[in-house]
Amino acid sequence: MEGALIPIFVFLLVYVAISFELVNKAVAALLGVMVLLVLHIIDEHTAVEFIDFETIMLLLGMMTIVAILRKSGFFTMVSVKIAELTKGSPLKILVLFSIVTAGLSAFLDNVTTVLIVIPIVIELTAGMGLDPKVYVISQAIISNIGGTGTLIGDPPNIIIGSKVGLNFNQFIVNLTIPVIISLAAALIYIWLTNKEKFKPIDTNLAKLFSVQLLLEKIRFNYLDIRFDRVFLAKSLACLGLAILLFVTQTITKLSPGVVALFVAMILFLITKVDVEHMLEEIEWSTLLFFAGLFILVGVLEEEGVIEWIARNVFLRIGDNPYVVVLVVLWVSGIVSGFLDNIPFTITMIPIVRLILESNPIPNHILWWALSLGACLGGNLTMIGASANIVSVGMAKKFNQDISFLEFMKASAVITIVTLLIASVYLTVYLWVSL
Amino acid sequence: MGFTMKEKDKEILYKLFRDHEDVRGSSRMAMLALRSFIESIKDLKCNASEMKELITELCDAIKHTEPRIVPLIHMVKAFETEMEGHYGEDLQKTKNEATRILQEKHDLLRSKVEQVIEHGVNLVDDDDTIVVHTASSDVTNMLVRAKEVLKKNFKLIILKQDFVKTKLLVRTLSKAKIDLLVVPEYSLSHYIEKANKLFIGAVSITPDAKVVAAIGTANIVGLCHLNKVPVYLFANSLKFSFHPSSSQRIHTKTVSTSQDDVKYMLTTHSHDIVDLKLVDHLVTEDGKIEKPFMEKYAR
Repeated sequence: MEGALIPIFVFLLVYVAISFELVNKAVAALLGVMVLLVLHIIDEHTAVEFIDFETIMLLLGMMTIVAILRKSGFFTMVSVKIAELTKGSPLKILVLFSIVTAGLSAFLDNVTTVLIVIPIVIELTAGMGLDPKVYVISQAIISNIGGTGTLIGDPPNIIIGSKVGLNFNQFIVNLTIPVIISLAAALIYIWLTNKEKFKPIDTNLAKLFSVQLLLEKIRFNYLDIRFDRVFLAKSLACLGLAILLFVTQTITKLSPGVVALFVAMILFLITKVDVEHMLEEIEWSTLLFFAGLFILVGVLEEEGVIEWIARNVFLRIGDNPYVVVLVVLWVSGIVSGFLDNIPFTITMIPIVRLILESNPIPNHILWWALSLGACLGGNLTMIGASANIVSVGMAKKFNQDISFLEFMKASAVITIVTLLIASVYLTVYLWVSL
Repeated sequence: MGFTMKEKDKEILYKLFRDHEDVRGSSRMAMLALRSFIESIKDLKCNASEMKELITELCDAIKHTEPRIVPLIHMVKAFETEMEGHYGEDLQKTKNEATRILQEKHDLLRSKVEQVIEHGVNLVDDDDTIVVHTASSDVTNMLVRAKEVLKKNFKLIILKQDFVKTKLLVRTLSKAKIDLLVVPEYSLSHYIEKANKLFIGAVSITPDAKVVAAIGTANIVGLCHLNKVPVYLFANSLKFSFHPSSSQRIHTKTVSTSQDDVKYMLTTHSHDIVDLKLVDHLVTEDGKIEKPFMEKYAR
């Protein structure tokens, strides 16, 4: 521990820089690594060994698949069809778009989902004279809840799945119930607190007429692209293949990272897209950020800092498994609401491992607690998750300013409710398992 | 029910009208509005006694759009008159009658549009170089048909305006393998000697012999007229308005604009007004109306 002062100091500095967005996340993380290398605290060969390439492969693969799928226009087409199905009913807009957002977030990344859904939702609601803010905030929240349900839905799950070795089906089997209940609870809360805004319009002929014209405009604006049916079919077939390989992971023994990157390469090959152009769509800074963080946490682990935190913070709460699970869940939830949940999850993984060594909680329940906490907690504030920041940014582009407090007013209660749902679920699960 | 359309809702509706008219032209816009009217009546949930009030409210809103969408206004007025005897206690029956009448109006408008296209196709000749400015759907369809059906070999000079309109036009015309040259609207003077026809559409033609047309049309028509390039205006008779050009409710917007440290108020109009005297040939469903008879026809 004595030699750990510099890595701790560097780590905290990086954490502050990331959380308050003082510099680019990747630059902050890699600069931290470079400081440790320059000061000879680690050497470059050891640094590289700390990087979890399984996670990087999964992220790179999914980013590539999503970039090519987005080019196919499929998701825009789905969103426009949903807009048509709503026929301008405010409640249907909320419910149907939430189902689509949750579904897409489960299998794509949340940021991509809101990038596709939010412009159409704003155009539809603002065009009807409704307040788009409530819909924007709700879609951001729903994307975070939906992303909690699968291994590939949210970065904390990708990290947990890859580093711990939990497979795609285990995530679905263990997290679907709390995610669906949370989704329903969030929608009910949004409806209850905005009842006036969700009044039906089907008694108002002029409104129905405006909606028809508006839907035609949306159709014209967003479907005004030539759909290459062959390209679309190939893209969807590859997405299907990826999901099939994720689901059959226990049989094929292929890790999610291998599956994602393998399917991404097949997509490149069969769609003949401009590879250079597609590679520009990949969020390289996110991948570098992950790599840098893995190294920083790896150094802390090697220096015994993680073990110290585990023993002096988490292991002090006693060995009651219910208390341990709930503490991990709520600490993850609250911290993720204010700080980036990616570095938090990477830091927590070795800590949870140490807790499990002294207190073996069955059925990976502690990992589910970490996953639910880190993903659902992102809804607590506007800065808690990337999807929130992107949604608010897009709303601003459409002249809809959403303040920090405005977001939190809607999101804080939902976060507490969903964490309570997760608490009940994990408690019952633990009670059944013990 | 006492339903009154709010000003904010009217503004939203008028903006939607303008947006659609901008990219489709007024006839297509009117057809779209009639189809939307039909769908809205089908989805409407109300008592039979409320039906008349709701329909009147919407018709009034449609009659006061900015600018006036004249073909639609004619159709809506006729619809209101025909509906008078059909309001009753049976809601479904009233709905059925309303949708039937609206469908008839839609079909009437479509047939007139088709007839204009039929006449217009014959005005495209081999080796023509036609200037196209904010081509309405009617003009675009006419050019596509002249190429694909009549196999005419002609060139088009497309005047580039905003991205969406130009993209749409270029896509449709390129698909028909028409020889295109896209130039900025303000550069037409460099190409005017090559052109031998200008095709334009209109929102309305007024009894004081004016044409309400897409923004920018007045300059282009003026330039072509000065250079003796014949101007062809394609408009079915439903575009003829009973109101003078000053009553066409052309939308104006004044916004504060700033560039670097210079701030000024900028006023824009949604449409231009062009003197019918500058038009050489008017093409309606009755065929080509020659210059000496145009003003009389408009009245």
